[in-house]
Amino acid sequence: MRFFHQLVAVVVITLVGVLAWDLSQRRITYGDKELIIYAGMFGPGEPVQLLYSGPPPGLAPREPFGPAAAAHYAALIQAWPDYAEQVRSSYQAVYRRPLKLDEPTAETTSAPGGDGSAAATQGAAESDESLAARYRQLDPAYIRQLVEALGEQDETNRLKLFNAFADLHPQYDKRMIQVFQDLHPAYTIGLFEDFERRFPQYEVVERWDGRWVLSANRPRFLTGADVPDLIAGSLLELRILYQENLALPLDQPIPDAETPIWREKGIMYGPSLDDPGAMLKDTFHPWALQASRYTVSQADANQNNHPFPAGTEIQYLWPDIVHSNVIFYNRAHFRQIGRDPDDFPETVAQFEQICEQLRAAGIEPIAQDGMTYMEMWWGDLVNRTLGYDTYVATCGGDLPRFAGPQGDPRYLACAQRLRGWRQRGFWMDGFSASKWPGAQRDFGTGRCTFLFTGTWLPAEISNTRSYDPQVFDPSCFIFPAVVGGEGNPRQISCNAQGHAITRQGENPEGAALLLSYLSAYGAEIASSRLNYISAQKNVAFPESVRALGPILDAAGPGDIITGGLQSLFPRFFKFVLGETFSKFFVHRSDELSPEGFVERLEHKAQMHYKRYGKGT
Amino acid sequence: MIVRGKHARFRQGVLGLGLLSPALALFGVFVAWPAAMAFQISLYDWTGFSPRADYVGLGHFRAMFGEMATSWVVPFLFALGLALAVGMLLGRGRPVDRVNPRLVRRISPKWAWVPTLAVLMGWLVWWLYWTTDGDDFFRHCVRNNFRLMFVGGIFQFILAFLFAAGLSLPKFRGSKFYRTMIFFPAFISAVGVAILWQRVYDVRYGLLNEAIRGVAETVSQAVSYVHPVALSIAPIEWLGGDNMFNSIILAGIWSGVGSQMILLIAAIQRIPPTYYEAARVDGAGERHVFFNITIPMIREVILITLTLWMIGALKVFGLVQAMSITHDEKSSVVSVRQYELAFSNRDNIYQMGYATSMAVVLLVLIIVFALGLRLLRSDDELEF
Repeated sequence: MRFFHQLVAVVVITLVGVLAWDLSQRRITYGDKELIIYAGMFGPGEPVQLLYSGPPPGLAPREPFGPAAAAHYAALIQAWPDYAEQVRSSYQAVYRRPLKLDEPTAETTSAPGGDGSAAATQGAAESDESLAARYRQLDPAYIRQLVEALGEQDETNRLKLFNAFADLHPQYDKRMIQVFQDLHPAYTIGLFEDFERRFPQYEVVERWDGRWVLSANRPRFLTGADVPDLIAGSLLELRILYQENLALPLDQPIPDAETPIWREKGIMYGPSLDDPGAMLKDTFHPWALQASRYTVSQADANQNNHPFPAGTEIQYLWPDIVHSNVIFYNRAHFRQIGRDPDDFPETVAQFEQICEQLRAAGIEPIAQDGMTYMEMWWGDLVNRTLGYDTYVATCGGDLPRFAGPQGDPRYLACAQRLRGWRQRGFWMDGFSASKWPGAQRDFGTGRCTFLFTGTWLPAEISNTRSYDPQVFDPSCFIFPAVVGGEGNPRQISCNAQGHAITRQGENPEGAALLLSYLSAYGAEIASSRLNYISAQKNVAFPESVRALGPILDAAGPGDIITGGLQSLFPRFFKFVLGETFSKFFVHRSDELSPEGFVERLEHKAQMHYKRYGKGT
Repeated sequence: MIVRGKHARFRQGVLGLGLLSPALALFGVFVAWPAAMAFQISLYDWTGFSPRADYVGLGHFRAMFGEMATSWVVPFLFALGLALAVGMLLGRGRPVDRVNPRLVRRISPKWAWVPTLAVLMGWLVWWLYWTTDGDDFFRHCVRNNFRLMFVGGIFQFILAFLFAAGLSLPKFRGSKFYRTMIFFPAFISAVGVAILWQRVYDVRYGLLNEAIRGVAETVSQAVSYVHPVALSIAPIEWLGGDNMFNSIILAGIWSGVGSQMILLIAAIQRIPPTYYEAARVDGAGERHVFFNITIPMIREVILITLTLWMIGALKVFGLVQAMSITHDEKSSVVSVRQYELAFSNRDNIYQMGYATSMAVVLLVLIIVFALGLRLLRSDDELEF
């Protein structure tokens, strides 16, 4: 028995010790700082995570220029000749070899067209001169620190140098990170690091929970403990938070808020961080704001005790970027078949004609994976043929139906058209057995001409695509019109992605400040580095999707689809549409004819209404 | 230790209970309590984000199996199974040896489970293959789990057994090398296996299709003319449509056969050589030795490997989730479906209650099959 008591004592003491250690961590790690708990939807090492957090601990570069950036050493020596000897000896000390400034630099040789030719060398020389001019403008006190850091291998130099740089060069204010990174090619600075420099009273606690960020945080929402202040996702993904009233409305008064403007009007009516004269909501594109609104449903009002009446449109999402579903195409292939690369198809008939031309030229027209984004072909063809409202009415349980006595024959016509595309070999060979990112790979390497996907594509293929314009020269267009169709040919999908401020979070003011910072100071760098369409008005469109700018700017409220059917009827989308598409589009066995497809859609829809009710 | 006296026995009982209590507490907290909670959750419609949940009773099970399957059929069949079981228990102990009536062979009480299990299995097969009632997608998922369990299980077990028998032969050279090679895939995680086999199966650039094309071209050249059929072989869509689940099963066998083989080898090598020597002295051939000594002596291990495979096949998740192209009814399994319904941000469904009711069904299936396999265990324990 004595042994048993001793065993119990050891277990209890260990558990109490672990608990005490865990509780003390917060105080030891963060001191008296106010915490902002951030739940990100990407995983460690992904571009967005690096953009926000900077390099992960242990992988931070240990030297500002690195061994390959000879142009930067040269420019520094040229701008500050007094330090020439120190720079050379620092290089020697760190890299154990002498600094050779006359060798072609890594930047020169790897630049597009940089083949060591005289022109390339000349270009490098010019860029060295301008680089030297930029170093010359820096504060001498900072240059002293930089030169010392060149002789050290110290991971902590990165933030030390950045903070000193920012303190001594306030003139770069809005583009501080970009300017610093241009001048220190080995270093990357995360947006959160810059935020903590500007607002030292705050500490951002990051959790990168991956795509399933909501599920990862579900126990926290349920228990109310340790709930993140901010959670990242798209309007669609974060929908459950709006339904269950777990997010703060951004454009509605918040009665118990401490900030007066929040109490009176709402968070979005506060001042912009970089321009206190402007309201936050005025810094966003109108279409981005529209794509961030959620309409309270009857079920929310009845079952979830939602504070707002059914039908109210509320902005819960703070948009950072906006994605549209577009058809990307390879301009190089258009040139190969003798077509003007900017003359993209405006009707579905023209699209079919181009596909035939491509087939004749031995090019596979459409890159496609087995199931990913397959349903978009059907959805957009139906939208253009029957009109979005008709399609919504059918899916919601009203007339017309997919098939049967009250069926609209145009649904069958759309199915027949798509089956015809497959029979004519428009989709790439073996697409039904291809898995993401197979289609992206084949599109980005110039094997297929079209790819229907979201505007996130350029960011996703940036490391795998060909940069030879003879092979791959991408642009995009929205789904073409159907001649004689009732659908709005200007209609474009607009899906906002950003953050929601949680109702249970302990620091909504800090969360809103961080989001204001990301909008004011992070939007440009995010857009340029990741090729995303920014929700901010003053940020340019990325080159590969520039064609969408005028379309979005000219779009009226009826031209924009936000979220689509997946947002309106998520269960119907998954259980009826999704599960029938896979049988019709993908399986090679052709187990469903077009007639069978619409009949099955109708049958499954009726079963669905019976189980879940209409409009679910 | 001999314990005398009531007091001493009581003290020993308390000590035993005390020593068991940490394990019991852990079992209670991490197994029994969650299982009970799972059953409770399965009775509610719940997203899992807020405490609000709507009680639906057995509604989820009704939606899963259909009205008819859950209205009168199940209670009737359970009653039938129980009646048969009670009958068997009451009737056990009657003489069964007519030649020697004094020799009374009692039926082991474990066989009382047979009618109940048989009735349950009969109902399940009827629901799986002869009805269209209930959740059709879930039915296909269960079928796929069963396909993996039976088809994959049979192939895997036969392969594992052949490898184990072959590599246990004393004269087999390089046994350790082959054993390591065959066991090696067991070290790779399910997602790793899935990614690796995706590369093999890739319809456009996969190893398998490239190999087939290469062979076809070589054959065409070898026969000195280009055979039109050989060169027009379309790439096989290993991960497309009807092939998808078979390809997943093959990858599962590849990754699982090594573990089974190691268990079987360990069991075979534990058999004392004197048994074999005695049998051979008595003139037994290799076939007799194998079927009359080897298999009976490793019966328990065979059952353990089959039980482990059965549980793994019913709970399989990572391999299917990572390999399936469409996650449609042809290639999904119960765990993947559960995950989609309960956790998928993308689908935005969050049917925690319904997904948990699937978990309850899965638990019942595992218990039923585990009990079924236990029936095959020998009543007499072999000690050697």
